[in-house]
Amino acid sequence: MTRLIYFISIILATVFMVSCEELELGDAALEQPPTISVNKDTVFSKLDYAERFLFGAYNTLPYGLNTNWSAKGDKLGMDILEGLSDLCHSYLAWGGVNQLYYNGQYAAGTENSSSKTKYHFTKEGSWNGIRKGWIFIENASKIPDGEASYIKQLVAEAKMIIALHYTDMFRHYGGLPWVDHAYDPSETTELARSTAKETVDNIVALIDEATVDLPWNIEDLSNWDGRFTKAAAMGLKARLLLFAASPLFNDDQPYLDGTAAQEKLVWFGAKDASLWNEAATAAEALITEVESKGGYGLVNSGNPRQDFQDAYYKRGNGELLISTRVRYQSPSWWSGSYYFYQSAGNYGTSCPTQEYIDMFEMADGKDINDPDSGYDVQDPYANRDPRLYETVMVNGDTYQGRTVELWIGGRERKNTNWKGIKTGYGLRKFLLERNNSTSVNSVVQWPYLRLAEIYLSAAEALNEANAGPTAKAYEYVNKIRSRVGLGNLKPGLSQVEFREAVLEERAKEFGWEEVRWFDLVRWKREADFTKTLHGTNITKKNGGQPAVPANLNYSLFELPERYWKKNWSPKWFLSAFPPDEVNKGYGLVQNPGWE
Amino acid sequence: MKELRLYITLLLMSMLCLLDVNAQDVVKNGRLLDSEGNAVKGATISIVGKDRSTVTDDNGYFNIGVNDKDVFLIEAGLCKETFKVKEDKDNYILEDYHNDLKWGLGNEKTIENNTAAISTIFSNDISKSSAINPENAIYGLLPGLSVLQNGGAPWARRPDMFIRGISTVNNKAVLVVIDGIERPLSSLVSEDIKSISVLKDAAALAIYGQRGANGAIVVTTKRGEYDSFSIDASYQYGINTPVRLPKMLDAYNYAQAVNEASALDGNSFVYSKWDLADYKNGSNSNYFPNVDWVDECLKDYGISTNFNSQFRGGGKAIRYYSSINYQTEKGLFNNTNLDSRYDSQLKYTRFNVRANIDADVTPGTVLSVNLNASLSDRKYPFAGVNNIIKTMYNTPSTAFPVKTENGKWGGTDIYDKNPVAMIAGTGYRQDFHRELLGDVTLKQDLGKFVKGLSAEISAGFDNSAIFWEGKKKTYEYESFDVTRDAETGEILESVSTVMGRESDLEDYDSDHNDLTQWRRATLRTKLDYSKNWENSRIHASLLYSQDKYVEDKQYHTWLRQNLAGYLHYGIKDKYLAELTMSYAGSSNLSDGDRFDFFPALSLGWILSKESFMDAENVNYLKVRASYGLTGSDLMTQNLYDQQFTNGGKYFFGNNYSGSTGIKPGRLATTGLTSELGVKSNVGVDMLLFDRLSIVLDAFYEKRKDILVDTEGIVSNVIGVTTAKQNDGEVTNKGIDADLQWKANVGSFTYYVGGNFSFSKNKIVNNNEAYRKYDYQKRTGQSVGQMFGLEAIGFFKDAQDIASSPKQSFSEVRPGDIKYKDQNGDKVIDQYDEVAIGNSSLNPEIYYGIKLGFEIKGFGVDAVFQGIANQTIYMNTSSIFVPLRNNTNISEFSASRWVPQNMDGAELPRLSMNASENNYRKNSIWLADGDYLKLRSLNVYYKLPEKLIRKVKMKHAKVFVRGMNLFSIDNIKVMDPEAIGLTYPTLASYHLGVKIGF
Repeated sequence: MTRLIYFISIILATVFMVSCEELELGDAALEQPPTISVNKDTVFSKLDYAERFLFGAYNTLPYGLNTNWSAKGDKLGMDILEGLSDLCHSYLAWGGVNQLYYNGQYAAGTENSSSKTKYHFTKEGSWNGIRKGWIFIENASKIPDGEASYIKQLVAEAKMIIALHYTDMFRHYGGLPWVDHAYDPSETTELARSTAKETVDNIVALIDEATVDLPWNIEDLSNWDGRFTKAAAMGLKARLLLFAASPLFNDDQPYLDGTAAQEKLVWFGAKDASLWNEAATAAEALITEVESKGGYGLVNSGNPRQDFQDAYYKRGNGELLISTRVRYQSPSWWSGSYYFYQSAGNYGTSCPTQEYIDMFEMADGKDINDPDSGYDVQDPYANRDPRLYETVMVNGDTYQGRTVELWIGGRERKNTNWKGIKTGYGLRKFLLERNNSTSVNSVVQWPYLRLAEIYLSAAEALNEANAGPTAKAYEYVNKIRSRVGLGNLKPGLSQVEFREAVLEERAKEFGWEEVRWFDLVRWKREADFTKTLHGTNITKKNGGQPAVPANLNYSLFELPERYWKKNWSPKWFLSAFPPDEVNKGYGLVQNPGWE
Repeated sequence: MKELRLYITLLLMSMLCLLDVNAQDVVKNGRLLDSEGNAVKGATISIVGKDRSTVTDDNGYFNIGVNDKDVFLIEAGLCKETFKVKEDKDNYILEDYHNDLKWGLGNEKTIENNTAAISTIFSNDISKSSAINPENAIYGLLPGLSVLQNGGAPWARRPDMFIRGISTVNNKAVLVVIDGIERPLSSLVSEDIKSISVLKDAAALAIYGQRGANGAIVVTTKRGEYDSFSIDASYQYGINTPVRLPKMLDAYNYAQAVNEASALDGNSFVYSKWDLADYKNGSNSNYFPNVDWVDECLKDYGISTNFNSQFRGGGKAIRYYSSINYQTEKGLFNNTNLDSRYDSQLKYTRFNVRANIDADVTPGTVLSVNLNASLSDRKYPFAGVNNIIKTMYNTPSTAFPVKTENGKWGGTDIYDKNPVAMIAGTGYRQDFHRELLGDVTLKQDLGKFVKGLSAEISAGFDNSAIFWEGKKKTYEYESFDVTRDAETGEILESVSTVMGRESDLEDYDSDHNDLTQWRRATLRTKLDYSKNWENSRIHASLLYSQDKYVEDKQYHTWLRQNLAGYLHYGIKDKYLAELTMSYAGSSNLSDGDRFDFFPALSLGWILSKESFMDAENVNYLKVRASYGLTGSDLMTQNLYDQQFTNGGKYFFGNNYSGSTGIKPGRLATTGLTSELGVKSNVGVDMLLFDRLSIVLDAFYEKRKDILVDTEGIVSNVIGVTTAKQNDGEVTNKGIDADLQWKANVGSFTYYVGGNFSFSKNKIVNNNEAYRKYDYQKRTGQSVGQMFGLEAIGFFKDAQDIASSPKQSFSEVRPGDIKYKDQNGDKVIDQYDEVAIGNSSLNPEIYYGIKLGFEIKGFGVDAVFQGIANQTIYMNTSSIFVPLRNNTNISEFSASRWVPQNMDGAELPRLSMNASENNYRKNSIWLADGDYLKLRSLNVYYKLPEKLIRKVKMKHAKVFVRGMNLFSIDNIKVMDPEAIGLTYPTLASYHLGVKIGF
């Protein structure tokens, strides 16, 4: 009996032990079992992985429409930057435009916790993108496979990612801490802000380095459109230098006094007219190259409306210098992950203002206030700049195979509370026909920088550098106008008139492309922040059937007043740093007015 | 084996010869057992009034000369009891005696020679609960252990447990060790548990190395006994009812509330007078329904059953304990079988088998095998339990009818989920949980080589897996757009829209990804040595253990090793010293820093054994103190390595699938080490008047090297999530007390006892980001301290708003909450948030009271349990926060601000808006979490032995039991322990019978 039990138990124990995991003794037992863990060395041991790392860095690039994927995707709490400008008014109750800016609630402290500000110093992903860029640059030499020239190109792309993030941050903050390598945790990270000038110079230097090694254009557009090119680099430089040359930083006094101003973090310390020359040179350098080398050009097939749409919407169109892509297609209209349709189409982030509508000239290029323009107040949307129809949904335009009905009670505006149309106008840009057959499942790249902007930037810079418009300046503006069939700009404009004309041209060309805000800021256009904005109610005259223009009434109404109107301060030109970040004490000086 | 028995018998006989045996006395052979049938060894048995005594042997046997009028006085440890000598009975049961406490990877100690802070309860306490999960059977029973109930489905009903409160900002999980192996307590059935001990100080915990810092719960299961045999069987039938379901407003009152809210928002009424009339009269109910969703979804009660049988005994060489347990709980859902193809009622069934076998393989060699197999099935509507409950509360009674007049489910585009349809029309899902816990131990007495030496080796393998399958369908629902005549209110037109899709009932099988599983392999070896001299006693152990735990996920392998030593030294059984050391390593730490050393020293002095302490009423008095270290390695895995993972696609060209990116993870932590708890404890154990036992402990812990984020202090321009570092520090101090009084007056025996725990912690360092004002600092406050605005009333009118500091969260109107301007800057913003209330994580005070009596087989037991100093944040939508985001409103909102009653208001005005001003964290929405609950009430009757002997039964008992019968608290509308839209907590009533052969 005893022996039997002994025997059985030994067998039991053995079976048990074997059926368990292997039981090792000693320190080796504490070594984690092999997993698919990947570290830096693995990443740079193969071109394929290293490229993927770089693509991961591309993924940090900014994207202007609301998505729900990251802090950058739902900046402004699902609202959009255009809502802060005079082009449109936002009715998104929970968005940052309404909750922080229209009501003046925004304060430096807001930047600590809110996800509803226009740019997140700590959350946007830019510092992350910059780090990824540096990691790539520092480790690229370890990549064993891949041709040297290609590796050089990849490094140049990484530099562009860094430069682009810095350019964006520069436009929101001014001078920034300059990160010039991937910091190791053991190093000090006490990086103070560089001056505004140093920041610009550093970005330009980085862009110049990249320019040398980048290909002029992408040969294989169907596979690789969207990667940085030499033209992209030159374009980014032109955008940056135009911003830098503008009076916000390039003036004889800072826009607002404060420590940051005294330390020249938010201006250059003096007015330097040559900066306009630099801006013009940078823009014209690209234009010259484009015209000599080809590969780029304005989309211009002779069909103005479609051309304008293709210019911002179509992939690989030759006009886009930089387009960012976090998604291939837009998903369904109510997809939470692609929030733009809901916020713009249904919750009213993007209701265009009457002031914006009025900027659009007649189809022949005459101003609507020109007595000879043929503008009919009873039929105000007829025969206008085709860009109006492609940007704004106006009454009577063709839409979903029928006609837009924007009078109160019409199909698009059943009542005045319908948020997507609350100013009397709806957004058309990006939303197109607002239905599944057109917008949904279509391409959604973000047109970060178009060649059209370079022409207008060159024109603007030439006008400033030469105290008035040059022939070239006119040529560049007219090039943009002629694509949509508008006539030439009126000759003989003064410097100021020409400047205004170019800024309006930019507003019309780049509505909802995040250009207007920065134009208002860099020209310190307080008047555009404090002017009264309007919407239009279209009503049917008593018994007026059918709803043709003759039977409609148009009445202007004032849009809700923004805090800025009566309490404007130049401090709004730049964002505040999060106090939590300032208080870490590494030398982040708060911007003027937000201390 | 035989030799041993013979030896013992000879020894006993020789002892007998020395005794004075009177002629009329007979030699009585008896056996002393504890309440679970374990032999009580070394107990002194004397006869009252006679100078004669003996000591029980290792198997509890004793012989003594008696005559049948004698009375035995049995003393074992601190336990004293008298028994009449009976002819027909050999076994004497010492109800209150418990021996062989096992803790610390298997050390044996007794209550007398213990110098650590440990509290223990036994099966007699645990068996007074009817909870399926033993974690829910120990409320208020163990000083120092807070068990905090949670709602949820039967299988999800797992309470939070803290030992001596909270001492860390990191993982707070306590270690649970069952039969020497780390296992979840919920994997046992209550009936199999012999004892549950709570280990609280360094002396008890140091031996667990990097697992001890949060305290440990050590559980032993029942085992068999030599030469015995018993069968116990019990059955319980229970009725479960929800504890306090909040009452939602009916259609008319809801519509009124919505109109009130709209008006106060400055908007027009949502419901017309005709709508209101329809809601009130129940007319046009297809369009204007009045549905009590709680009533439609939940029944008044559910049923639970529990069958348990235990076989227990042993022969000369083998001892066994084996049990079969079958439990069911049917849920509260209503309308579960509207679809004839299935019943989607929530149903939990659990079948559990245990076998604990000890075999004397050779004299001096014991082989033990423990196996526990558990099969449990969880059935519930496919829509998911919590989704249903959430929809049930959030859907207003006006939203839509359960079914429309066309026989379709009701629903609208806003309220697109029909709670009843979720129960009845979505199919069902079944999760199968299979768990096998097993271990074998071989114990060898090495006395042949060195006297007092023994060795033990054991291996364990546990595994658990959950997989699921189900049948799923979607349903169609209908909504109506009603047009009324503007003048008369007559319904002119109703347009029906049908949404959703009625699908077939489809099989839905889980794929491998849904499988949850874990496995654990352990190996333990141990050498024990004990030696007694004239005056001193030494016990030493050397232990080695290793443990591998794998979850079915990446980075979820834990490997641990522990080499530990234990030395107990006692002089004259009065002066006690214990030294515990462990050198423990964890795979979770970086190479080179994996091992740490955790020593602890404790001292005890049994004053009652001193000659100067001959106070008659002090039966026992011991003071003890301990100081030492223990650690915690519970943290995210692989922190010592920076991981690069796939992340972020980028869509170049027309590449539909995109190019996958690689992204760098969090920076690696340098010098990653485990949390270190420096624990000190002083305590006193007392037994007074033979009846009153008192245990008092005071403790102080400094928890260092807590892994905390560094984001708050490292510049963000570094561009990557910065490493966590071992910079955190928390202190925690408090007391535990336990008092028990047990006595009898004739045949009336009664007891009353209570325990009380108090702990208060403080964050010393948390790498906190800069705070503009000191009052906003989390550092210096308790872990989990609430922060928010301090409400000072409600705005009366526009003038009041204009003259008050500007509130910057959203536009305010009269009736909105007015806040205190803490910094005096005339603006109410985030800088005015201060510490409000207490911690939301755990109560500072936790206490339990138990009392009961028995007379002539009839008895009552009650356990009360309460907490104090914990704050509840009442932010549950619909129940506390009304109408926001199209949710519902409950009777809780009755005390809201209305223009007619500004002064009596306790809550802000209603609003249909998001109202950031009113609903951000502030003092209005906090409530004191204090409660006192009756956790269990037992009324039983033990059938007279004379009666049951006739049917060969050893004992028989019938009982009725109530669980969670009442709660005294401040919340009133729902259970203070289950705030939220979850399956309700239950009160239950059980009828049971227990018999033994």
